[in-house]
Amino acid sequence: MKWFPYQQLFDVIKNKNNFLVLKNFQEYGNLSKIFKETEMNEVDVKTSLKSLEKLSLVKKEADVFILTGIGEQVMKKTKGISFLSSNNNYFLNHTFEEISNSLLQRIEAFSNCSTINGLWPVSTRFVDMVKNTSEYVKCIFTEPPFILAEPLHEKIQSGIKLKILFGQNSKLPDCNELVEKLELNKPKQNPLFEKRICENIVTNVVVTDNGACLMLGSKNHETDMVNAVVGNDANFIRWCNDFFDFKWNQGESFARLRV
Amino acid sequence: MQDIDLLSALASEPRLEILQMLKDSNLKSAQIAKELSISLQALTRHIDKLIDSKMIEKTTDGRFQLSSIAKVSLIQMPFFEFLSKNHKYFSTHDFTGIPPHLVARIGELVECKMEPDFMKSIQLAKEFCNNAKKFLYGVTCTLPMEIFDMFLEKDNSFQWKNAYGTNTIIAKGFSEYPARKKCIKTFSKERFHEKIVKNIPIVCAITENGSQLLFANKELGQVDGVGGVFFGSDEKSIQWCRELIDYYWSAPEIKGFSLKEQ
Repeated sequence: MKWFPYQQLFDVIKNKNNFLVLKNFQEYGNLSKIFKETEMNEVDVKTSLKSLEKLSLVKKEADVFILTGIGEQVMKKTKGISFLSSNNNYFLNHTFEEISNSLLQRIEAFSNCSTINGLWPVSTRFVDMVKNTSEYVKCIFTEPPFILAEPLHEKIQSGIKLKILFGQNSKLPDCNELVEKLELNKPKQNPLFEKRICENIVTNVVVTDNGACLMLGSKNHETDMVNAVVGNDANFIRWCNDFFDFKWNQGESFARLRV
Repeated sequence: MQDIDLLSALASEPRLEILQMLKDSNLKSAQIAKELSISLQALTRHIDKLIDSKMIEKTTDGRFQLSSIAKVSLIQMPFFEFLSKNHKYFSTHDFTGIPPHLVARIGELVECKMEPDFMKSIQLAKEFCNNAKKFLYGVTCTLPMEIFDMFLEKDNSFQWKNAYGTNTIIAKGFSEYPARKKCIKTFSKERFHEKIVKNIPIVCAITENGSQLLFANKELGQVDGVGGVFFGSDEKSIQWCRELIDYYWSAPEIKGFSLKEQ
């Protein structure tokens, strides 16, 4: 049997008491709050602290227990993985295949996200994000939603930078308002609006300075814009920005779309 | 509690091994049991636990495969491995000065070896610099003057790029050290480039052969030099360290600042 050095770590933190103490330490930072939040008795808390101390997840300094750097990071990472597990309805039916390993390692970026489903809840979220932006909008679309046509047009007029990435597989019916409003089928150059095309797109994303909306591809490797992961904390926005940049750098500028 | 279910699924060597096996290919129960040298009955308990925690799924042809959740979870394992192996070091050191997106990827340092002995680590660090033939890039809060003598012995294509922090402390005589003055005077910025940026609480360097890294002491808020040094020679650790160096290198330069000599 192979040896996994981290198996002992999971063995300790899988214990309900140990996990609760560590989780509440991370959230509240002191023992008296842990007693209150967990309703554990003193003996159980002390037993847990001893187990956690052995693995350097907590440390005693001048008779006071503190969370170590390692303890904090372990909890952050665990919280990120737990997000996937808690939203397994979504993640079991979607794929991370387009996402690089270095981005997937940063799963804690998802810790404060939520999932939404339904075409209109997801679309309305795009519109709100675009309307509330004060700096930039970056989008990756297989099928750009017409609902964004007016908000994006207004934002460009007000000086907000826009970047849109399409794929060779992107579908654009000629009645799409977005095509008309942004003049995607004309070779007009607007310094605030950049567009590129890359080989293939399945995962779609909308990122602004105030939030991000990520739509992973389905298990059948098709775009799904009816279900999304959304968040507005800095880590998730940064993650989505890095994903956008990763795909953007695979693309090339083009003059106009043929619809 | 879903968190606990997931952690329970992972807190077992046989289950971790099953997950690793399924990374390479979908397998039937009999194949897994044979590989693990356990009975089908014993295997079933583990398989059930992994299915309940949504880590594996059964395919239409009766094999087992990793779920998307398991695939992403397994990518996090080097992170846990690195921290587990070095937990004593990280009881006194932390990630001060490491941006969050790199802390999340600390698993890329899993192949690094930590040298705990202070004098030995200085010797290894010297060899690390001497063995560089193409370049030495780094960020540091401390630096020996003799490194500039080493630089002068390198051939004409060798590149040096180093960022100091406003907290960097160097030995007395550093600014007037002849070898350093010669480097500044003689070489173009393509060959010899230094800058002072904001506070740097860590030490990190790469050459074409390897990486070297010291984390900050939690109490001091910067390196202590006595806890241990991480040395790596694999591509992942070099790339991780390169990104850390680039993070500091891209910070605004603090002009007109003189480093503190002691």
